[in-house]
Amino acid sequence: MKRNSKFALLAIGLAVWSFGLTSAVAHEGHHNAEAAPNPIHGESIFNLSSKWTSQNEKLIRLKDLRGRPAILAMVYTSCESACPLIIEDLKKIEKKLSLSARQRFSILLFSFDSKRDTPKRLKAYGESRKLDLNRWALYHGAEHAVRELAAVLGIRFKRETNGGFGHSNVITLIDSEGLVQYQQLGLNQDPSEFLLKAEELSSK
Amino acid sequence: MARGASGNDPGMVYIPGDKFEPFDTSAKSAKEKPEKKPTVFIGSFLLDVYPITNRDYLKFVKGRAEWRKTKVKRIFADTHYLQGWASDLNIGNLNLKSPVTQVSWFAATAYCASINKDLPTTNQLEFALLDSGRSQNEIKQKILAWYGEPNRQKLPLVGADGPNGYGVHDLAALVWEWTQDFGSFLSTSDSRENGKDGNLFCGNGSQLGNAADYAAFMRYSFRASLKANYTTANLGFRCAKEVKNETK
Repeated sequence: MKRNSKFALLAIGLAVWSFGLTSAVAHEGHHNAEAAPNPIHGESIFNLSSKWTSQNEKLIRLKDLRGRPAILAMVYTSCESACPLIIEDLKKIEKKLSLSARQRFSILLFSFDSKRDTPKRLKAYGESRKLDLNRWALYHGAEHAVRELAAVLGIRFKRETNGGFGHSNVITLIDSEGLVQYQQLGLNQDPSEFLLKAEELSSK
Repeated sequence: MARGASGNDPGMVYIPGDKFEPFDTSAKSAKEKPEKKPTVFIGSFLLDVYPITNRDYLKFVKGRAEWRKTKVKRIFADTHYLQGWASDLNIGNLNLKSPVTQVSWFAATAYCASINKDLPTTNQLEFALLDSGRSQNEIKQKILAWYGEPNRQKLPLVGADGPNGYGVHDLAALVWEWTQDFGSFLSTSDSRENGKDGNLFCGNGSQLGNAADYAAFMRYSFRASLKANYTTANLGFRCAKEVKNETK
């Protein structure tokens, strides 16, 4: 098999890809919510240095989210089919979480649409979707920030000629140190596995 | 010679924009509307003449400690990052003039950003390879021969292949190359999740039309199989730059 390992990675990649992103990696023992002075773990998404602006015009880096576990997804507001369904899936998760877990998690939406999803527009979207903006936040980032975040989350997307986006639908659970603990792939999924992981994480 | 020279940066050539029919979309809409070939317009851009070499990359990591072999964060590059290098600032037995490989998308992106460039988009790289239609059969044959070859113990030096009509070297058969949007072509995973079996095979590659262009099929499928922190022995990169405010 050594003969042509140009294809070895392809084969592995296809296998990994076609099984989707559900095989989340557990990193036990890395999250000390209170231990903020520790260096950021090498596999944490908080290593990304790109900046994002919230619906309240607050400029952040991902590492500013440190200390609180989160549920996150990438969407865009002019999306007519998939994104409202992701929001519904997130709401379903939010509703089914225990009270203590619900209070612990933040729910974060990152927009694919650097051009059109201004903070103002994100705020209006959040309100129209009746999101509890104490818990939910919506973020706008530059194109390179979007590409980076999608890359670390394994989310594929493509700008379509009509200005919309084709994208994979992924809901990601991160711990307070930014380590991915679980990913739910696809729309309208049974969230029980996700909830199980979230409750586990919340009780730590 | 004047052809393609980019003026400011002798390491890059100017590639004039034109209409382009991407392999991935051409297939899909050929099925839906065979009479209407979809095209996109590629703006003029600059492209590196050669892939980035070990020498180039060494210079980069000298200035940017966070991208050294032992310093890099695992989320940005897997454990095989710069595998052939002896240490952080020593490329070992590799040749300074060979393309750097075992680099991740994040590393390649950071490299290009550090000199105020970008990775090429998939369309830009494919457009450059298309070379205004020059010698396409020859290029396909070259690529297919390369696929069939055993891996070389040592990568050849850059510049051995080409230049093509734009003055770009090594696009066909030296290394695979990262693109900015390497994973985008099958991104409409909506369809995948709807359970159309055809979409599940080969990173959607099988859905692409023009099956006769096996070389292109493999390039798109290979890129689609990557994850952004993957590194491998045959995967390198070069940088590009959009040309803005072009006056004609």
